[in-house]
Amino acid sequence: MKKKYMISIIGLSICFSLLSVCNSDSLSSWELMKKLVLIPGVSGYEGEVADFIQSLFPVGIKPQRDEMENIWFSAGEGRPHLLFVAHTDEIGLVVDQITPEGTLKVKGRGGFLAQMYEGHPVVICTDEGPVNGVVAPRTGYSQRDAGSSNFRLNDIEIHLGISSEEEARSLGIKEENQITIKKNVIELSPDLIATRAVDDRAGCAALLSAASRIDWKRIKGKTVTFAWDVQEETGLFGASRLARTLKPDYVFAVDTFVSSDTPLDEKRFARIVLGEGAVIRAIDSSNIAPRFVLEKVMKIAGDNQIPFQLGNTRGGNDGSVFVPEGAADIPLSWPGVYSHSFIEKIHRHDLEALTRLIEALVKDFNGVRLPKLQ
Amino acid sequence: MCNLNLFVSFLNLCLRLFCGADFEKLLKEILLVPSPTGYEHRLAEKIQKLLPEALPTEKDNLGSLYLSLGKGTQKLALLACMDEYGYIITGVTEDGYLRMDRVVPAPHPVYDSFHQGHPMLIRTEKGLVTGVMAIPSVHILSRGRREELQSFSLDQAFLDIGVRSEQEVREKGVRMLDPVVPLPDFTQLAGEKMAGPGLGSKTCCALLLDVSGKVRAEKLSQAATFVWMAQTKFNRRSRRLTEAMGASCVKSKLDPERAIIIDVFPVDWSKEVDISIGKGPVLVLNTSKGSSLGERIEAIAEDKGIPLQKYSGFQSSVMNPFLSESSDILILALPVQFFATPVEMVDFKDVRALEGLLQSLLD
Repeated sequence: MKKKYMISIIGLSICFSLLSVCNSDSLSSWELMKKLVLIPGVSGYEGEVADFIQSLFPVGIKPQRDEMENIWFSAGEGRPHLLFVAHTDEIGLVVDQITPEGTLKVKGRGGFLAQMYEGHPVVICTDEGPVNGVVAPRTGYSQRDAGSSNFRLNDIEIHLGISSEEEARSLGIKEENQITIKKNVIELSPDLIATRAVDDRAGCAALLSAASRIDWKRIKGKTVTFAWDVQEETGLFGASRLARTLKPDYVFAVDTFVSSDTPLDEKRFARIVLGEGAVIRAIDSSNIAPRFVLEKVMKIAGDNQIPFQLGNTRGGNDGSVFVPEGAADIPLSWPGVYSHSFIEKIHRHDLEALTRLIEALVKDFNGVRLPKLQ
Repeated sequence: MCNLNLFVSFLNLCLRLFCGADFEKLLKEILLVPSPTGYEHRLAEKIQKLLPEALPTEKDNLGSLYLSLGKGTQKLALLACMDEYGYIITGVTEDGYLRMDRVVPAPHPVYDSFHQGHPMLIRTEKGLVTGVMAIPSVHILSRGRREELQSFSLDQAFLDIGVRSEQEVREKGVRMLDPVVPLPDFTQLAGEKMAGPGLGSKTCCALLLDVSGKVRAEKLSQAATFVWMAQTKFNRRSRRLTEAMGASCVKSKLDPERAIIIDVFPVDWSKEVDISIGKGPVLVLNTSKGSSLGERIEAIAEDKGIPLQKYSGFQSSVMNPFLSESSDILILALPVQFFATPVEMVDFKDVRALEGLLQSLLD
């Protein structure tokens, strides 16, 4: 009887856990994101993130996966071909060397301020499971002149609580293991969280949530591809691989709009406010979206009563690698602050608006007729 | 506060692995009470609640908590520090970001930089509020600004609690001078070690509490007073030796002939010091003058096979007020690596050894 009771409780727990991301048949982008950010997936190590996303692909579609761990599926046929793409990787560290004293030296993956790691806990992902470590403060940190030296990537030394290389290896640690900060989801309010890897798990979640709401059998007169690619943070490598096989006419890269909506950032550009809707990222360091395509996207957003903002910022996006092949790149975003930190902040309304915008574009965007030469 | 609930679950797991059920309970309760200098009253209340009800306690005007046990002409004081490093709220910007100041000097030059881009905890009258210390986005940082960030200080610190106005700050219950500490997030490491903010001092507080609960008062051959001191990181203005305000008050109230201060020993704060974590507590003597208390502790350690490290000549603002020709004062310290960082590291073998020494001494 007791056993039966226990099984019922476990069954109910699993149901509640699934219900937290599933509402009827659709998936909540907000709840999905909160799960996705916690999965380790430093650039080059995205397999676990890809597995999670693929496990929630819509029923009846044909999933595709390449050797890099890019995953995608397509529906419909013919032109135009719309590609929506979000990246599964995150910035982080990789074990470079295990010292004779059992500490770890690291290599970086992606761009970040190394001093964020100083004096903070990290998790090393080994084949035998996660191992905790802490990044030592700089040598002589208590001395009067400690502030005069800068903390760089080379200064990162991870302590595991042991004192030899042999002990480190017995914990399962190897060179090239990925390392993330010990992740916490900080709920600043019910609609606002700060955590690591919002860039770009929020994009992954928006895409997956939109995928769950779309009736893929009804895609007619165009091809729509949803892709989750890898190694964006280290040089758009996953997108470059996809560009060899996929030849879209329009790419909607779904990624962070780095916003200056903080007390510390220069407000001359990127001034897009959190909580006021999705962002159409017109200009960044890698792409200038064609104005006539932007107008069409804005009209669809307006017609569907989706709150959106239009802005320019810095940084690149995956869609830009498809532009030389003839595609137009229109990045879609949410305003994100404290980008590439451990407290990337995002507002629920923005993510939900982004999800609706993706859904609306799949339904209503059929390309833009180019102006004819006279 | 779902964030804190997660930390509590994790903390339970770590502590269960390292120590007995009683000590686990005490330390867990203590670790989660923020207590920056001048704001120790909640921790004192918590310690009071964790003591057996029948035991007589009192407080002094700074908030230090006293528990006296046993009778006799000889007096022994056992002291631990309740306060930790942190900040206080001193302003709110029009758009709802909080500004901060410190109550006591930073323990070292890079203390503030550990908190930029990390979560913090504010203790308000309405409860705990979580925030994050703002950090610029790498993508939109100029190279010059990037270098400037290396010397982060409170002048550049804005605490973000997810609101947009002063009104919303008030609605969250945040008021001027509310205390702020790093989010109490603890990490279990290999080799019975644990790391987290304020872990060293809080472990000492829990140890004293644990030992005081296990002492059989009727068997004590001397009067023992257990003191959890407030304001030990705030020094009185004096031209003499640096003296912690809280310790000075305890001295004037008790004037103990013999005292053992249970404190932390930062193992990496001096290159000349050959003290490590995991090799036992540290017996710290102020001078080369003989200490009968020290000799007794060494004898117990030898007899019981408890590892003990020794150090003399340590200058401590907590010890200084008690020093006199006739007094016998020493520090029995818990070695701590990376002291005053968010990853203060403690080896629980040292904690058990220190507990064993104290219990044997009182028995």
